[in-house]
Amino acid sequence: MNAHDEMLERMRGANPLPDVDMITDGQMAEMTLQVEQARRMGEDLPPFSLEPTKPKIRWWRPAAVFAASLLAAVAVIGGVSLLRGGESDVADAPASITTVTASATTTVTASATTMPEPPDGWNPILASTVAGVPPQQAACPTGADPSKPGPEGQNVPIPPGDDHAGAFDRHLGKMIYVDIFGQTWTFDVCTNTWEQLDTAGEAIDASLVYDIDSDLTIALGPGEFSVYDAAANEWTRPDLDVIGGSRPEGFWGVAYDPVSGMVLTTSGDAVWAFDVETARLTRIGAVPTGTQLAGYVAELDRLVFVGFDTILVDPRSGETTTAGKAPPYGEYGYGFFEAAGTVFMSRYLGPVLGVCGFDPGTLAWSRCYDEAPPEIGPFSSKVGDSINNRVILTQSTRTALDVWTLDLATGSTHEVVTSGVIPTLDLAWEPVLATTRANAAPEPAICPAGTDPNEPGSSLQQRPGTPQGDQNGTFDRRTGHIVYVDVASQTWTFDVCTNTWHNVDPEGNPFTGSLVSLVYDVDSDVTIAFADSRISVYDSKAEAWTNPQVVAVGGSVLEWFEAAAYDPISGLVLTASADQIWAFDVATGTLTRVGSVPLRGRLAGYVFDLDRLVFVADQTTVLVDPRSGEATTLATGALPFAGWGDYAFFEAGGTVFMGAGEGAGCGFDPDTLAWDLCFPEVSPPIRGFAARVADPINGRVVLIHRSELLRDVWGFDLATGQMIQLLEPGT
Amino acid sequence: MQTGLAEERFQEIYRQHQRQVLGYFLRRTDATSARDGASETFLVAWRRIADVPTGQGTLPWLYGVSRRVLANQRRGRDRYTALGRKLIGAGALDEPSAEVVVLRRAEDTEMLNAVARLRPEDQEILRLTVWEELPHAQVAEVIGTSAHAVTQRLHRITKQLARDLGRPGRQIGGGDPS
Repeated sequence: MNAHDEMLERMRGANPLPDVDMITDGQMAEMTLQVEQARRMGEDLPPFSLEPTKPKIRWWRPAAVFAASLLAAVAVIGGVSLLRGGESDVADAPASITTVTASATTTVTASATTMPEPPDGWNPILASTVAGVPPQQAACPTGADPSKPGPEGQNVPIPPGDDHAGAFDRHLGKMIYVDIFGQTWTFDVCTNTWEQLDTAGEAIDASLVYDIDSDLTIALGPGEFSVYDAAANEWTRPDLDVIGGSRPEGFWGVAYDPVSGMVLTTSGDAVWAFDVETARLTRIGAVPTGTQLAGYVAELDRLVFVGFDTILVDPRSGETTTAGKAPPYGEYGYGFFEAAGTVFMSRYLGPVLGVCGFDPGTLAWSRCYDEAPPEIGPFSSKVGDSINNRVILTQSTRTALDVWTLDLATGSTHEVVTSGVIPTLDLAWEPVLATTRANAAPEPAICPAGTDPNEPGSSLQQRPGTPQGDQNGTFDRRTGHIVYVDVASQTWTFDVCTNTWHNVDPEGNPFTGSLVSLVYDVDSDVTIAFADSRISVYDSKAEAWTNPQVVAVGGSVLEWFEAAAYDPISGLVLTASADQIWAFDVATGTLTRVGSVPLRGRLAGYVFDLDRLVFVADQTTVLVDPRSGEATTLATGALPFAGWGDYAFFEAGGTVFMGAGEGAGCGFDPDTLAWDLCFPEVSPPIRGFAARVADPINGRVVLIHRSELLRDVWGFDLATGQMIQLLEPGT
Repeated sequence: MQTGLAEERFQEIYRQHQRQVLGYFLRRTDATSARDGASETFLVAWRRIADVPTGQGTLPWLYGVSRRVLANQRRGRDRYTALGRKLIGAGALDEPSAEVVVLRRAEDTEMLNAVARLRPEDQEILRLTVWEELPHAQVAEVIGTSAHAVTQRLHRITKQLARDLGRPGRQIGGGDPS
């Protein structure tokens, strides 16, 4: 019996319940009783899939029609307020579907005018579909104090960039929130406590909205949706049935329509309605020119679009009404959210957060709270909390996420999560680096006879412009040239034997980006360029760039790639993005999520003698076994230079070097497991270059200066620690 | 689905899989939590009856729900236990799991201790394969990965167990990088 079978056999022997027939009838009966009791208790919350097919009868529909008649008579005296408040279930219901008529709005405010513009053949689906019975809204337990800050030091999510990262699940009484990794959290608005969930399925990088009648949270991502069922703690991705147009690539703005029970969004110039029960995404009409969807106002039963002006759109007919100017947008961006049955805009007025709501009574942006403390913001999400009549503001940085609330009754703000801790990502290690093997590496090029690599190149030669990143070059082992991409995405090579630049005129161009990392893939004899969150491939034999269709496996690329390293064992190229390690296989175009970056650090490179990846976090060095994911935090691994953000890492001589401060650089010694391969201080210091590329032919590191004025090139001799100039500054 | 049909379908699912689902929990937690967990799993199945796959897909779906129910139970218990420890002293609320109670031999203890040192998902792959006797394709459905990945990971898991139970681990800088 081999070890594999032996372990399985031992595991079998350790089974505490080898046969389910050992379960007694009494145990089964107890469970059956409990299941039936639970099902009976849940009768007030029937399974959504057992709902009658649409059109459904909504209990308040007749009341709304009655109210409409009443309001037609008394609209001018503000009769809309009669239907405000009351039972929690009606809080989001529109007071009337016919309140805003041309005559009514003209009476309420002289600035409101009706444009008889049923644009673009408005699809009446929002008039013919009726929402189901919404679930009961949760309430805070007796004695709970929602203004009391949550536990100190609690784990908090890392916010994504989206304004709508959260949505309030009124049935659960919690905000559903998706972090930058697509992991799901809840925020309990009664205890101000975050909880990370272990959900089935993954959310997508998206805007969230709570679908009240279906009791589901919808995430609207690029070209697709995912749906979160809190009862099952599961995300699913419906196969969208797109009607009335081609599948949009992305969505902008989101609103829930409580009358039809559909989620509304826009893409380009089209308004879309999504029915979660049928997975139908229907194009219903055109976005008013020059506006964006801000949300839905229940009292008016109108969608609010905002551009220079505020445009109200009747979701049933498409009829539009102008309702005055938009509020000031602020200097540092803005966003919209829904709360208390209307739409709010948040924006930054100087350093101060301003929040202004659209008042359905006056048809103006007059519910303003512009006195928020200056320390508030920026926020990754603004979510209306209908239980406590406040707004949950989640403040966003990469290292901490604090939560503030804005009380809509008093305008007061409270910090309710003050010292959150972002937990380390702990992904299961995908063994792709253990199961893939590289081909034998080709022999490296050598300098031709008669060349002198120490002879500086001509200072008159053309040279590349300065790019933004710090890993813009890589050594092509076969040609013996450095491949380099400059600020204009021009491709250059630098001959390390003659110290000469050559401007290549390749077929195709790489993706451009503010952060470019190049790495030579020895196994495939191509150069891989990671530009922001995209990948390009350069074949020096064909002098051609291609931008392959990359398939991400195991997760989504959520942020830009921060580094690149070649793994000579697997022949795959490694990079990191949003605290996740990825392996790229150029042969298949597959980008596999391998695991998590330890301690939220930075990928420095690969050490051949140890077969370990080196990560640096604060002043700590962590080695990670690429095959198993086993991480070792080194007691000896304190960094030689202090100060974050001023590091430069590069690989040379089979290990990783760093340059920082005014020092020359220190390499990681695989024997002592410390950064003690240090060289004396040199000028210029090793940091501050657009690329530091190991040149194995001459045993040195080639440093290409970042300065646009100089653009000189230096060589750092790994044997002597001397710096020599390989190319003088240009004119 | 009509209510009558839904009820019929639920009864069928319950009759066919009640023992397996309760067994799943009994292998992983104490009897009371097992009953609660199994009940919650079937409640989810009732609420999501139209989504429950038919045929051979039913049991992996139920195990997938069970896994998440168990995870939530454990999170809640961990919090409760931590709070209890703080209030009345360490260990006071510890309740032995079924694995501890039913242990038959010291060898099993050693094995289960080694399993507990695996990553949670690896533990689950191993248990579903050996204890629930699911084929790799169905384990993959529960875990949310491919059958191939389950096969690969299972080999890695047994290799790690073998090393943990008998062979010394590899040292940094100890040679063969493979």
